[in-house]
Amino acid sequence: MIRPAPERDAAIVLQNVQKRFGTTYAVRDLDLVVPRGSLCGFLGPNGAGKSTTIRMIMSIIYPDSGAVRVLDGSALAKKDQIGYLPEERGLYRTMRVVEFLAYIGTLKGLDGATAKRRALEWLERIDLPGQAKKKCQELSKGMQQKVQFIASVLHDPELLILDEPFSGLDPMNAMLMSRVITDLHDAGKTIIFSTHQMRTAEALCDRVVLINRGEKLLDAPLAEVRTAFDEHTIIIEPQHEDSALMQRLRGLPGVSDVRRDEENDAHLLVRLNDEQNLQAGMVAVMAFAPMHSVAIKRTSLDFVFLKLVGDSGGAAPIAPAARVSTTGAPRS
Amino acid sequence: MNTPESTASGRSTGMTKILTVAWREFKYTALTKAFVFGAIILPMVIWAVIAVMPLLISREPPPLTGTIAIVDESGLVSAEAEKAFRAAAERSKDTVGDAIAIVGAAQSGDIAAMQGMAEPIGTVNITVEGTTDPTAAEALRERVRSNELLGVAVIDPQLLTDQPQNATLELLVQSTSSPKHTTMYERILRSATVKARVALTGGNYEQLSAMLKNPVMDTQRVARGGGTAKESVVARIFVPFGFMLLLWISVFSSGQYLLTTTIEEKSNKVMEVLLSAVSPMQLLAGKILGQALVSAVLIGVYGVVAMSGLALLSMADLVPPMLLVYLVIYYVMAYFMVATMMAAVGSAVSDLREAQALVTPAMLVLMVPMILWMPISDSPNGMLAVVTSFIPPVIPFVMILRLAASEPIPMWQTMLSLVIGFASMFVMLWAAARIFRVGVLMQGKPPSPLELLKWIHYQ
Repeated sequence: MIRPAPERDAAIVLQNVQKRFGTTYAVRDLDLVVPRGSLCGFLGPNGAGKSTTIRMIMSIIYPDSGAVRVLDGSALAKKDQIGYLPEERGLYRTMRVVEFLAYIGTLKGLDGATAKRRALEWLERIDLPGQAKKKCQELSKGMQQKVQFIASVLHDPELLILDEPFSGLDPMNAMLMSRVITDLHDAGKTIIFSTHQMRTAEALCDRVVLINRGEKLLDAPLAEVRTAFDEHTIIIEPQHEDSALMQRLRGLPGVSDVRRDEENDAHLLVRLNDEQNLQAGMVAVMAFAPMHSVAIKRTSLDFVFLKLVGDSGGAAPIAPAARVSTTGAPRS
Repeated sequence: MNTPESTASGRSTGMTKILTVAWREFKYTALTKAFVFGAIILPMVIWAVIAVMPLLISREPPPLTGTIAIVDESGLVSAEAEKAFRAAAERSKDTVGDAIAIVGAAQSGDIAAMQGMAEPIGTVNITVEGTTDPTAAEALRERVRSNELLGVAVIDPQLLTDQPQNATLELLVQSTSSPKHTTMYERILRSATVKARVALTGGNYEQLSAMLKNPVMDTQRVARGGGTAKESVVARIFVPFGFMLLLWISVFSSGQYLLTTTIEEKSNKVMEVLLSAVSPMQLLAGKILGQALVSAVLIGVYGVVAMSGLALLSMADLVPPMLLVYLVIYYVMAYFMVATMMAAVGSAVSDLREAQALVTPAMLVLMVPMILWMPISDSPNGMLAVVTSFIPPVIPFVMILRLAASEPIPMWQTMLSLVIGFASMFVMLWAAARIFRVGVLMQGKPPSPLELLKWIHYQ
C-alpha cells in the first residue's frame, strides 16, 4: 500500500535500528528514510520512542543494533550541517542571549563575528528585538525556547531536527514558529520535527512518520496517507433535520453508516460502502433531502493516528525509555 | 568530497571547538566579579591584614602609673619587684632594645623570657609599697577595691623556702586592669619571688640563670653545592607547607569550578545542545583546558605574592629556582589528577548535593598530605615520606613537601614519582573521559562510586 521513500538522495536513513533500556524496547526494528528536502512530521504518543530515535540520529546515543546514516555519513562527522533542538530546553542562565547564541554558533563552525551578526538578525526575525543583551535567565520560558530555536538554525544547517518545537509556545508564537519552519523548508532545508499535535503536523508536513511502542506504524508522504486512509465519508448539513432523517439516510443504497459529527452538531457524517463512488453518493444525498452543504470529508491525521495507534494496542505506558540510561553509553 | 584541505580544516575545527569551550570556561569563571573579588582581592586583603596586624597590635596601650602593694614578711620580694618594675619603666622607653632582647631570648631558647618581652606594655611607672606585716593585707585589699592601689600581692612565706610546692602567690588587681598589665604584674612577681628564694638559699641568681640558659645554636648543613648553609626552622617547616598550600589551593579551586560548571551544564539541560555541536571528548578537553588557565592564574598570582613577600623579608634564597621548576611540573600533575576526578563526578550528577557523596572519598585521600605535612617536612627522607611519594593521588603534594624541605632527596625517588605520577595521571584522564561521555547524558538517580567506575567499561 504505502511504500517508504527510496534510500538514494535521503537525508536520514535508519536500517533495522534497535534500542533497549533495561528490559524495555525504546525502538524496535526501525527502518526509516527521510528524503532530502522533505518536511517530515515525526508522530507518536508520549513515550513512543520519538526522542530516543532523534537522539540516535544525532549520535548522542547509539543503537544496540542496526545502522544510522545522516547526510551520507555519521551525525558526529556532520554535526556542523545539522541543527538540533532537543526536547529538554537549556541555556546558560547567566550568559547574555547574544553571547550564548554566538558561542553555540562558533561551536557549529561559524566565526565569532558572523555568529553574532546572524544571532542579531534572527532575534529580529523571531520577534525578540532588544533581548540580545539580556541574561538568559531574565527571559520568559517561551522566549528562552525561541532563543534555543535560533541556536539550532544559526549556522544555516542543511538538516534541521526539532524535538517538540511547539510545546510550551502560545498560539501566536506557535504560528510564528510554523511560518519560520515553512520558510526554511522553502529554502531547501530538510526538516524533521517530532510532535503529538496532529493538526500542526497536518498543516506543515509533506511527509509523516508515525511510531508507537518503538515500532514504526507509518512512513509516507501526507497525500498518500490521506488516500490510503480515506474515510470514504461525506459531510452533510441538512436544511431540516428530523429524527427520522438519519434512519432514512441509512436506508439509501451504498450508505454503510450515518452518525453525527462530534465536532459540529449540525453536520452528519455519511460513510459510503467502499465500492460506492463518492461523487455519485453526494448526488444521491442531495436528491434525497434539501441540504445547506455537502462535502467530501478529508482524512485527518487524528483519524489515522487513533486508528493505527489503537490497532497497535494503544499507546505505551510512559516508560523511562526516553531517558538515557547506562546502556545508552555513547561511543567516544 | 574529502580533499586533503577539507580534512585539515576538519581537524582544525575540532581544535577550534576545544579552544572555544576552553575560552568560555575561563571567561565565565575567572573574568567574573565573584572570582576577581573572592579568589584574588579577598586573599590579598587577608594577607595585607596579616602583614599589618602586628603593627596594629604593637601600638602602645595608655601609660600606667600607680602603686602595687606587696605583703612580704621577708621584704626581699618587694625589693626585687621594685627593681623589676623600675626596669620595666626603663624598658618601656626603649622599644629597640626590647626587640634585640627578644631575638636574644629566642636564640637562646628562653621561651618564657621571650614571651615576657614580646608583650609591649606601654609606658609604666609603678612604685612598690612593701610591708612585712601580714595583718595589713585586708586593709590593702580594701584600697585596691577603692582603686587607690593598682593591686596587692600576698607572698606566702613558704614560697621562699626550698619546699614551695603547695604555696601560692595571691594577687588582687583592679576590676579595670587590662590583661596585658595583669600578666606583667604576674611575671614580675613570679620572677621576684624566685630571685628572693635563690638569695635566701645563698645562691647567685644571675650566675645560676646564666648557667641554666640554653646555648645559642649555629647549625649549618651541607648544601647541595657542597658548601654549608644556615639551617632554619622557617625553611624546614613553613616553606614546604607554603609550597604545598599553593599547589593545593590553586588546584582545588579550579577543580571545584570544573565540578560546578559541569553540573550547571547538566542541570540547565544545556548539555544536549552542546553535544549536538561538540563531542563529549572535545567538551571535556575544552573544559579541562579552560580551568587549567584559571588554576594557572591562581597559582601565578598567589605565587608571585608569596615570592615577593619572601623577597621583602630577604628570605628569597630559601626557594631555589629548581624548586619552582618542580612546582610547575607537579602542578601540572596535580591539576590533571584533580580535574579529571572533578569532571568525572560532575558529569555523573545533577546537582552539587549529589556530588558531595562522590567527592568526599576523593577529598579525604587528598587531605592526607595536609595531615602528613609535619611528619614529612620534619623527616623528608623518612619511610612515610618515601612510601607516600609513590601513591598516585598524593604524589604531587608529598613530593612538593619533600622537595621544598631542606633535606635533599635521592634523584631516583623524584624520577620514579614523576614516572608513576604522570602514568597514573594519564590513566585517570582516560578513565575520566570514559566516565564523562556516559555521565553527561545521565539523568535521575546519581551513581554510587562503584557504579561510576563501572562506566569505564561501557562500550
